Amino acid sequence: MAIERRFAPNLLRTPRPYVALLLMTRQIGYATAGLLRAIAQGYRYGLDIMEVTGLPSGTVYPTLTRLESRGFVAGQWESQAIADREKRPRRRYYKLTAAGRAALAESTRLYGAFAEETALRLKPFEGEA
Amino acid sequence: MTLPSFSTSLIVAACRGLVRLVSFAVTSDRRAEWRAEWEGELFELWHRADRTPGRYPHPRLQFVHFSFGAVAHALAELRQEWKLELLAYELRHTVRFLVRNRVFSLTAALLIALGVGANTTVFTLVNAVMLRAPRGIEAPDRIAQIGRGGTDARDFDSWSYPLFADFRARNTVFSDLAAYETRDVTLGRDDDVEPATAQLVSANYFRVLGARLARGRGFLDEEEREGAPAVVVISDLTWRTRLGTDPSVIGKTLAIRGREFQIVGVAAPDFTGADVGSGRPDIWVPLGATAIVSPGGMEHLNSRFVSWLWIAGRLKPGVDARAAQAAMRPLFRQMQLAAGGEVRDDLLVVPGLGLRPAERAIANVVSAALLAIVGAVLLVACANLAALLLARGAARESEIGVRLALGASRRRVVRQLIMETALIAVVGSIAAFAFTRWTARFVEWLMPYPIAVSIQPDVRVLAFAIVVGLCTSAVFGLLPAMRTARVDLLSLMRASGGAVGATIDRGRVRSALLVGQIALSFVLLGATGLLMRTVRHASSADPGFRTDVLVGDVDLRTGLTSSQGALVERLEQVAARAASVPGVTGVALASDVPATGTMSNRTMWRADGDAGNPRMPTVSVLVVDTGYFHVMDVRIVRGRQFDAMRDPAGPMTSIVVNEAMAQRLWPGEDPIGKELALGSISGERRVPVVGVARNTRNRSLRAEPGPQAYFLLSQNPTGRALLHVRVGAKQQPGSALATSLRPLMVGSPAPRFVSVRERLSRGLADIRLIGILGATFGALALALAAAGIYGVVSYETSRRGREYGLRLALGASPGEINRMVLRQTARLGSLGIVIGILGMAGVAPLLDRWVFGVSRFDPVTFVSVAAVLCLTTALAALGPAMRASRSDPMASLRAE
Repeated sequence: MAIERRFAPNLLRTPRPYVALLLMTRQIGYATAGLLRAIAQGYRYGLDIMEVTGLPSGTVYPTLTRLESRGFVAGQWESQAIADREKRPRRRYYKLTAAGRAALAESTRLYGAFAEETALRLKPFEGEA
Repeated sequence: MTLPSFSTSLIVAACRGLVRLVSFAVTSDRRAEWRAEWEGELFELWHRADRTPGRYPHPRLQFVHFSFGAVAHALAELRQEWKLELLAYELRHTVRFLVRNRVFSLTAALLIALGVGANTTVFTLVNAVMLRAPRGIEAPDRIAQIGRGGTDARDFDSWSYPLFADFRARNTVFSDLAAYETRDVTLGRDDDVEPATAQLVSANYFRVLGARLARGRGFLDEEEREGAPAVVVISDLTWRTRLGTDPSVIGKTLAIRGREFQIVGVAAPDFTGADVGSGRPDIWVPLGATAIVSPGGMEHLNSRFVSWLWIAGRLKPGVDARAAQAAMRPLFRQMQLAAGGEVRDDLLVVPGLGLRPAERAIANVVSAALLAIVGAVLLVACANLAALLLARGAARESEIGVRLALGASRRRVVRQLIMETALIAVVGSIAAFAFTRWTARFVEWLMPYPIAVSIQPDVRVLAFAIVVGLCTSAVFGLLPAMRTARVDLLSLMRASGGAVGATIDRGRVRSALLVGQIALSFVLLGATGLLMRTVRHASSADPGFRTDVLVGDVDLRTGLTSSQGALVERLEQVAARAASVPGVTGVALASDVPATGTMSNRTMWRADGDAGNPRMPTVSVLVVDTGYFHVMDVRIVRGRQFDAMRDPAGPMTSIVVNEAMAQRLWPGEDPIGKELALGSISGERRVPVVGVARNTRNRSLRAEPGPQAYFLLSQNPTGRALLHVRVGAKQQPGSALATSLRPLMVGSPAPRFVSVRERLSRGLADIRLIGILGATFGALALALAAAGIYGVVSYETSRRGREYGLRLALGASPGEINRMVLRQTARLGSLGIVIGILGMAGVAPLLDRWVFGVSRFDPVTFVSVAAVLCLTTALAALGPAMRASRSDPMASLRAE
């Protein structure tokens, strides 16, 4: 596993014309920008991110996987002790990496205030509000 | 871990099931985590669902909707794995690997090319004959043929000219109709005469078909009438071969049956005529010239009773063949009613210009047999390829092991291996396609009769080649790839260096592949052997007449002579001249060689016809001269044979029938002196029976003799006959015969003499075609199998080299090692042969259509095929066995 996951970003940096072409079609979209922003603001696992962005599960989880494989976010399982104490299964928490923070900045530059408004429709929900 | 109860409601179970199901799309190394994450999220959502009302009419629906996300997620994971840039990288890697291992890649590509090539070759022919419309025709899918059905579903009969004219004038569904029929003619005059194929066509033929002319024009409407100026359109081939690619050919003349025709056009090179089933026409002449092209024939433009023309038409827009048939039937009924005859509602409209139903039925069976043969070749090639890939995989175990150890998933390793195979397959398939042009021509050359289609491979053939190549590589590459990727890392690491190959036992699979190849080769060669034996048997079997008589076609018909009687006199002069050649002991003339499928049929019945004796529609008619029965050794069992004195030239006064016919019409009576009624254009004619001849095979060599009647040549005059020449033992008068006949045959093609036996075996064309191609491809399969055996055995022995060395060191003699290897191979070989015999038992019933006179389990065939396979196996294993016996005991001891 390790070799492939680490290998992919290397490939993306290869200065080959066709890779550049592929990169152009893989720019950061609204949903991704929203996800990055949500994680940056401390919504750390799938269900939370979903609720706070209002995006469907079919968007959030694949995007998380993609961001993780590109090294923009890093996922980590919480410790079993905490899960046992709260009487639920373990959660997988995500946090931004340095590359992720750069990408977030880039997305803010791309979408500007628009991203503030739409991509992150923050909606305080009970329990945390 | 204890968790609060995760409600066991149906919805939860279904959603968790869905997650588990789609998780199989995720790579195995990530699957557990992936599943855990989704299960956890489902759990939390379930306990939270009550608290977020709003968007969903029922909170449980949110849960269901959420779980659908797992599907999208799993698909995204799949996509991740098949990312384009990764694939591009792997492709580069694969190409590099294949180029580095040139011998392996080329061998594998060659195997695929051979297997696929055999298939594309046959498919090219099948495609040309059965699937593709004749070439050079505009919008061929808008053309339909009109025919007449009979009692047999495969009947598709022709029409008379007046009916064609009526159809053309009165139908509402075809924009126009064309008529055509193919006839043999002679081209040229004096000493330069050659046989050719002419198509008699309606004047609108080229217009209706949309056939392009390379030069000149098509026919004018007035040229369709009798007595019109004689004009001809020649084919591109005729223009090139006979007229030397003359650019100013239009307006010149060409002699057809001795009459000058003016050349008005040259057809486009790709146009081979409308009739796939008959020969490729060399020339086209308008129907007005029928009497010249087919002198003495019954085909008269104004006769309603002689059906001889095929009709094809261009459908009007929006009309299909079914609608056309529905519209044509009432019209045909009206026409029949108006003519006052029998009304039969049997008009058929068949879409396309391809083979007619009866021809198609034969072609279907032959193509199926050919495709089965090349399919077997492909299987042998693929088994070979699979063995090669397995051996290759064993050699690559350490490489694969390193990749797995570094974290590559097995799935990726398998994908990489399959990509290699697929790449090889595509290269091999394209190579096969590139050579198809020549291989198809080779097969066409092998064929015992010509076909009227262009066998140029097209896009459909290319697609076929690539699909076959990819499918076989997928099927036969997957197993070796999966086995290769099943490397046991632990044992790989423990065993250092050279012993790596021993980690997985692939020997059994390779042996199975070897056995399969031998078995398939056995079936292929066995079936071919049976067909060949049938042809041999048929041509040596006794048909009831002499088979050592020489036969040559004498065609004196020209468009000039009017009297058929004069032609018969000339035929008799030719026969008399032949009789005077030294070595010739007997001469006769006859219209056909029986049992070759060329005899014509007539309807006959008892003249005193009582109701209990129905008409006999299929009496084979052989027109013979007075010497025939003697020369051919056909005994007259009752009455007399024809006699020049008692049966003078003129109207028919006598007829000889065979025993089968006498038995059918006059069971238990003496037929001599009884009268037979013959149907003819002018009504009924009564002829007395003067003799009964012994039965001979007449319909075919396979069928029991059917009713047959002999007519006398001088009472049924014609300008064409087969000259039968009986020669004394050990005489070869062929060339003397030709030179002495030459002066009498000016203006006609020179006859070529072959034996009756040869003619008979030509009648078995379909068996011979399958037999010849089966033998060719069987030899290919055998060569492939031999190469496969050599490969597997030599690989096996090289792997066990150390063991042989030890055995030698422990006192075994080289001969013993040699024998050991051979014994092991022989065991596999005999297993293959046994399975092959079982396979033959399964295949033999399918051969019943063609195999006759030979047992399905003909011991000669079986034993000789088994012997050939044993010999091949032994020869292929000999080299590796010798190498094994020369293993170095010292090297083995040092290694231990």
